Amino acid sequence: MVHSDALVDTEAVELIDPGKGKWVHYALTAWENTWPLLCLFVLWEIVARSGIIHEALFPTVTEVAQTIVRIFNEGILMRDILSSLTRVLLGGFIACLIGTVFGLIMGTNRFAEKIIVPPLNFFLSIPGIATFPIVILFLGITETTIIVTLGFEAGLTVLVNTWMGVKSVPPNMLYAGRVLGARGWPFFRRVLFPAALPSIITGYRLGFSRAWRILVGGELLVSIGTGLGYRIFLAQDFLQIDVMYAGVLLIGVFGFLLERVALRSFEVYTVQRWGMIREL
Amino acid sequence: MTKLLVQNLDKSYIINEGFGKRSRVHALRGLNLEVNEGEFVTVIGPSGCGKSTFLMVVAGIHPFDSGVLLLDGRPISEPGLDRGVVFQDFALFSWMTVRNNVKFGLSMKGMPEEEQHRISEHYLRLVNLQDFADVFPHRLSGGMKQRVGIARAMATEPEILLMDEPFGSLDAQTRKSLQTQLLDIWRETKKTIVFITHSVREAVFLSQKVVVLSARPGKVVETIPINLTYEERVSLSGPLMEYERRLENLIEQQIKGDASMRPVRQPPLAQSPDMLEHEMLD
Ligand SMILES: Nc1ncnc2c1ncn2[C@@H]1O[C@H](COP(=O)(O)OP(=O)(O)OP(=O)(O)O)[C@@H](O)[C@H]1O
Ligand SMILES: [Mg+2]
Repeated sequence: MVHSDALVDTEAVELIDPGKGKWVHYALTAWENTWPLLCLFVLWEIVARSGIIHEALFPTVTEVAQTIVRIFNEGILMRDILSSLTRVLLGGFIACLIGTVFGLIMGTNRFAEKIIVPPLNFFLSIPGIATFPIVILFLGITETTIIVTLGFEAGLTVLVNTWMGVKSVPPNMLYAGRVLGARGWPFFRRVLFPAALPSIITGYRLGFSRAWRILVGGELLVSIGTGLGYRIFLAQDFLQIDVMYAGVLLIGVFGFLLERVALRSFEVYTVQRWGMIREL
Repeated sequence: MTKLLVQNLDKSYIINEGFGKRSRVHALRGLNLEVNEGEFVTVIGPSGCGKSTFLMVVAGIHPFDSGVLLLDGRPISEPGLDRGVVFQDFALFSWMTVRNNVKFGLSMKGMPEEEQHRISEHYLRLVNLQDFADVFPHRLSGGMKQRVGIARAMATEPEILLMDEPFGSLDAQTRKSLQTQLLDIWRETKKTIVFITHSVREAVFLSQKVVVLSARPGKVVETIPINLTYEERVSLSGPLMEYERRLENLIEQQIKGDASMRPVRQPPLAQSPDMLEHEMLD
């Protein structure tokens, strides 16, 4: 991937492919990212059709897809998707923000590190699901309960990764920033944050994947009435196997899109373009 | 006029060895040095003797234990834009283009954008990298990276330039050409420069004064003024060779740990016979 044209006019640089334009490139990238998944779906279809597993327990992909279209047309699915997405994005976004800020502080301030590490390890080992009943006591059966619990757990993950990322930045990089007069906020924003970004992005990845996991359990436990997780468990009560599969499939698809479209693009545009992570 | 005054500088690192066990490594002990305004001073000494440490202390990055450290008569306690640093391992910001690396110090000063651009352009030209302004550093060669490092350090127009083996990792040709460039830049700008190197030839070629440090803990063994004209330097004249030979000898003795070369204040490591002899001679 060539991101800069600055070298093109020198004799040593030769253009070997002008590219086929932005949209073709996007289409190719989309294909590259989806074909292994599509293969998996084809495999699923084959196994389901072969009858190895009882069809009532394991519907085909096409059946599940039809179910998705059906419940979409019934109008409930859109609301489920929107409420689940809102919860994950809102909780995840707050988690990234707070986790990053505290991680940066923790990685630079000895005192902050000493204070935060013990409670951090304490909370890290408690699954978010286990805290739902307690949070419900205080916040009731509300959106806030889900978002707070989910944000808390995702935030811890972001925090650990940011903290470690900051601590592994080569000291000379930080010295260079300080010697050039960066201190306080500009130092954090223009030196520390980008220097630790490869690891911070990993934190966001893991944070969001944790957010999805807790979401599904949370929607059940809080029985909030909407959401993909809620739909799955409701379908279980009514033995609507195809709806269960539809819910699971959709969660996977949205998780995949969030990672590949948002986080991966961010990564390509930042740390990969800067040569901080290798491009394979 | 004295620009940088260093008296009896001690600097040690505390090392955590685990289980609460800690030890102290003396990197510099009783270092004395004086750098005049506009002077080009080179510090030379065996690996691990504390050269980088000394530079980082002057840069204000590392605190020192005791002694006097004055820049223009004011004590140094933290980093400041009056000192520019070129790092041994470049330490470029990989997330900024070459130009933005050079502009960084200026933007920290709060300088208007056009002026930042104008100054960065000037320094990029000075190091001959104007065509690479919009490239990210990972696409540059080692020599090019170091030139960015030099441009970045000079752009803020510091009072004194601290350079830690800037050409250490370069090939002979690039090195030679950058040395000449640096000498020209120095003649033009009359900057005060403290330059660290392993190479005797580089030291003699560039500087007006060569300071030889002892093995760790570093302290000044000898200061040798280099009285050569610009022409004598670039033509690698006989007098230049003479200086080189003298310095080579001096450093060789340092590495061998010749007792007569040991700084007097250093505690005897072992009571070797020549050590005793040395003390009796005193
Ligand atoms: N961060 C540190 N912690 C502990 N000890 C250190 C640290 N940095 C340097 N030292 C010690 O201080 C001594 C001086 O190190 P320094 O990097 O200043 O050497 P140097 O003269 O620059 O060597 P070189 O020529 O190889 O770059 C070394 O012997 C090293 O063991
Ligand atoms: Mg060094």
